[in-house]
Amino acid sequence: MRRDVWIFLFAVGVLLFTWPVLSIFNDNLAAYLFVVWFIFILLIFITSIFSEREDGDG
Amino acid sequence: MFSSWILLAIILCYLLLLFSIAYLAERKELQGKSLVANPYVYSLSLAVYCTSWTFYGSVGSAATTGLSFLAVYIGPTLMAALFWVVLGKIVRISKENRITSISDFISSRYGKSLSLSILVTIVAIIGITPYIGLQLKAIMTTFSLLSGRPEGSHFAGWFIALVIGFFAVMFGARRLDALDRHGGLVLAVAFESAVKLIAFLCVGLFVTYGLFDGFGDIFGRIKAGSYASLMKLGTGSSGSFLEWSSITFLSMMAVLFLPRQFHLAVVENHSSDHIKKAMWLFPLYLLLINIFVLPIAFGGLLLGDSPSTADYFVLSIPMHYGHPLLTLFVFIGGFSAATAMIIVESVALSTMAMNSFVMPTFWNQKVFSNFSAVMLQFKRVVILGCVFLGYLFAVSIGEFYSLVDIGLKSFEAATIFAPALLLGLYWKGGNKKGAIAGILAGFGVWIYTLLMPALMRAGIIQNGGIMEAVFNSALLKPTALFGLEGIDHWSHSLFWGLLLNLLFYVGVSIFTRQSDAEARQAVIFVDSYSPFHFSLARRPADISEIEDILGQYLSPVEAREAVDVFLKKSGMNRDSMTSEELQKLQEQAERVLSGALGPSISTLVFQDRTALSPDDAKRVSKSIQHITRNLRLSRQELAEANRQLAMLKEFSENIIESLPLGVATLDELLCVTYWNSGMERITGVKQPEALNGLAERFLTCLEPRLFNPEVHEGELTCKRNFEPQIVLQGYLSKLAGAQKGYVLVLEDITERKKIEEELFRATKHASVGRLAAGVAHEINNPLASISSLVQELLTENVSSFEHDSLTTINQQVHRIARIVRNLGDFARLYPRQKAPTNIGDILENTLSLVRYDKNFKNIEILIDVRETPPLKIDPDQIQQVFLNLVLNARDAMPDGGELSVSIRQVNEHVEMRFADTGHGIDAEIRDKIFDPFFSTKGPTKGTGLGLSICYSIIRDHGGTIEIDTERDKGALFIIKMPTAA
Repeated sequence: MRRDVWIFLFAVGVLLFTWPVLSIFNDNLAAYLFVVWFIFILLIFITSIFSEREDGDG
Repeated sequence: MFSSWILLAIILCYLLLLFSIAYLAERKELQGKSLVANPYVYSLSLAVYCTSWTFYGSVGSAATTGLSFLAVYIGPTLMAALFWVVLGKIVRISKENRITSISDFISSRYGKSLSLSILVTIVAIIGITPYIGLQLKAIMTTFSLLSGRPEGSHFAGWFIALVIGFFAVMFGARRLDALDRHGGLVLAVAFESAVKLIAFLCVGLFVTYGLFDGFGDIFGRIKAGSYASLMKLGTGSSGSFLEWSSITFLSMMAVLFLPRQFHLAVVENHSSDHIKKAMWLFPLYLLLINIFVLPIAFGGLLLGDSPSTADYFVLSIPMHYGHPLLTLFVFIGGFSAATAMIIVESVALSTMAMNSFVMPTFWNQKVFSNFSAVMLQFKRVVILGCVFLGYLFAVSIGEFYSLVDIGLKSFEAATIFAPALLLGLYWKGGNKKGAIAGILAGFGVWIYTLLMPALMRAGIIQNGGIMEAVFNSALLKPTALFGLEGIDHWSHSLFWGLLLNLLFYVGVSIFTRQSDAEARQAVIFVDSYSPFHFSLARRPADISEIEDILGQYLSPVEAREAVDVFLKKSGMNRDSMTSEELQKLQEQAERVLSGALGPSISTLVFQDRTALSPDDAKRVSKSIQHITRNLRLSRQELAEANRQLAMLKEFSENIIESLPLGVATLDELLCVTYWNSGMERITGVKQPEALNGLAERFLTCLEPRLFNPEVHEGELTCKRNFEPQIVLQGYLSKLAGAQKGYVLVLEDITERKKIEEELFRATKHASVGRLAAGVAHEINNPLASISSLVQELLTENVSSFEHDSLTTINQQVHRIARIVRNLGDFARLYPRQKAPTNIGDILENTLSLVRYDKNFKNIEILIDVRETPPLKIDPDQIQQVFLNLVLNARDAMPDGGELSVSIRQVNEHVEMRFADTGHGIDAEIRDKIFDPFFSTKGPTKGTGLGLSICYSIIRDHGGTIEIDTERDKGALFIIKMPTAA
């Protein structure tokens, strides 16, 4: 897996967990944080599965 | 309340359990069956990040400042996405260089600088030891809460610190080689991570569903009450977005650069593959342990507890509601969180202190007698020292700090290492002086903006005199440095610390020179090169000398073992080692010692023993300088050449790919080595399929055969045996120069062939037309005389025979006249006027002429005429074309059949199709049917000019006429007339 994918994922995470995105969801911030947190972990999980498969193929 | 002795007994039992687990792991490891070499234990061990700050402090923070506490866990989650990129590189480098602590890592990067290692260790000890103290404070406070005897907590703290120190010594300083992993310690830490998670989830479930009706109930009541601001960030809440971002960044750095995190993530890593699982398992752990933080915090507030006691809601709520077992379990959970941190942190700090202070001191004093055993004892003392330093902090000034406060101060301290470490991984220009300057600047800001105000608040520094004047000045106020006000103190300290750290690191690195050793280490770290790639410019020691040196610091047996293992692994022979092999062995020995002594001292050990003579040193130094200069130049030239080569390659490929030709290169065995997109288009074979395959397999249509019995060079043609048919022209030639093989170029000449044929036919028609015009002109005049004379004679009184003869002559003259008229039509002797006409009307007129003809009785005529624009045409001539085609169709179907006529617009043309079901035409004569005087009907039935006339008329109108026919399959004439005509 190219490191660009991980860096992209990181950048998306930073975007989702900082102002101004957080201020948009300020009324239900706790729910937003936990849901996005879980989705982000899920994305890392899926990416790492693909990455392991790629490594296996390679 | 519980009796103090019962609590102490429980603590001892739990510690015994940990001992058993650690012991089991160590035993299994000795048997070669590691219990810790798996990603799950690795991920759980990383959860040492969650200390008593998480277990108790998060709830306290949530109850006082709301959601801000989550940033401490979001940061590591974000950083986890980069684990493979950043942590993976750190692990690789550390394994290659046998690095055992973060101070070793930074000092190794900058030329194995001892001064840098000492500086990092000092920062870590000052920044982190209070954090150890806070863990002990948490244990003591919870012990007091449960026992109800605050006076006994100091004794309990002392006793617990001793036991924890003993545990750390047992499993963290078993032998001197710090790189020998601590399997027992890691398994115990992983077990504690599991215990604290389960304990927290239990109390969370109890509060959320035992005391309330779930999340909705708690959050609903909080939103409706006076604590609603805790559910938000920014304006109207106690946490700002800036503070949130700063803490997120700090925790991102802390999860990698806190000594305990570095130790478990890097030093105790068994395989880089474990990192990939930890990337999601570790954040998942953080998510789980935080799920019930808000319900517990808000639950405590709703139950009437004060926010000032919120740090211990986790323990106080189940205790007050009469659940002693749950209370005890939670206490064990919190105890696990604290002890795991204390043990790992003290081991990590002791390794740093040993490598930075103790080893160099002993080295300078030349104390070598029983070195290994002495150092091991020292390491144990240092571990105990770290734990008791923490204990002293906890009992003396710990009460002035909250868990979160000291935790974040440690995070800020760990962030001081970030520029030197992270930039050092990706920028070769960073040097030792820059790193020292950056860390000093960052540390200075940390002390001034965070530590000093805290010490003043605790009364350790008296606020008065010059201090007061400085601290209260507009420019130097610790919480508003240079007048920067209006932001929280974490963001304030982070901003100035990071800014100055970066400025000094980058600035000093740019303006000062890097030593050769630093340049070498920079390449090893940035490019992740194995140190093996670099040969030392020192005289290699011989093998017995290397063993002697190693034996002095390890033991003679271990030294011999280490050398033998390396020789076996590298396939070297002890009795016949080359100079290069000796250098490699020496480097390996340095790395082995690096694990025990630290990189700086291990390098010194060998430098001292293998020192060159002054003359040699001068010579070697000059050589190195010369080589380094040349290498730098060569690298630049190589990079430039590489760049140009890449551009040239891309340029050439672009040209070849954009050619309207098929280009392939073949090796000597006629296997395809290159296959461009034109080749794909022509052959229908894709590049991946063609590459390395025999070219003959893909080019069977080529004539003459290219490849058998020998390779032909020159022109070739190919009629592809699949639709659409194309005609190719190719050229095969041998590759010029050193490369052997062939280049094959194929060109699709189908269109060119068509045009050539068209031109040939037009030329033929033109010359025949000229001939026909001359003939018609010459015949017309005498024919008119003959015709008038015959008419006149017929009016005379002639015999019956003469009358019949004259009538026959007259008929033949008419026939000749018709032929001449046809010739005139063919040669277009009579200019016609073109006018916009509806083509459908012409077809209708034509068909009305033949519809009632008896010869059409058995022919079914199907008409499909669509709306088309009027065409500028000569209607009579076009009618003649239609009539010719219809009559031809009739002649082709003597026994009846079907004639389909359709007219429609296709793009810029009006297309007319005449399809019959007659006998068709043989393929061999298909190309001749538009030739003048060519007929398939025999000499008596036609002149052979009908289709020639059609062809001439259509071409004269700027259109085309084509035929598609096969014997017994009917014929299809397609006329295309441009709408613009």
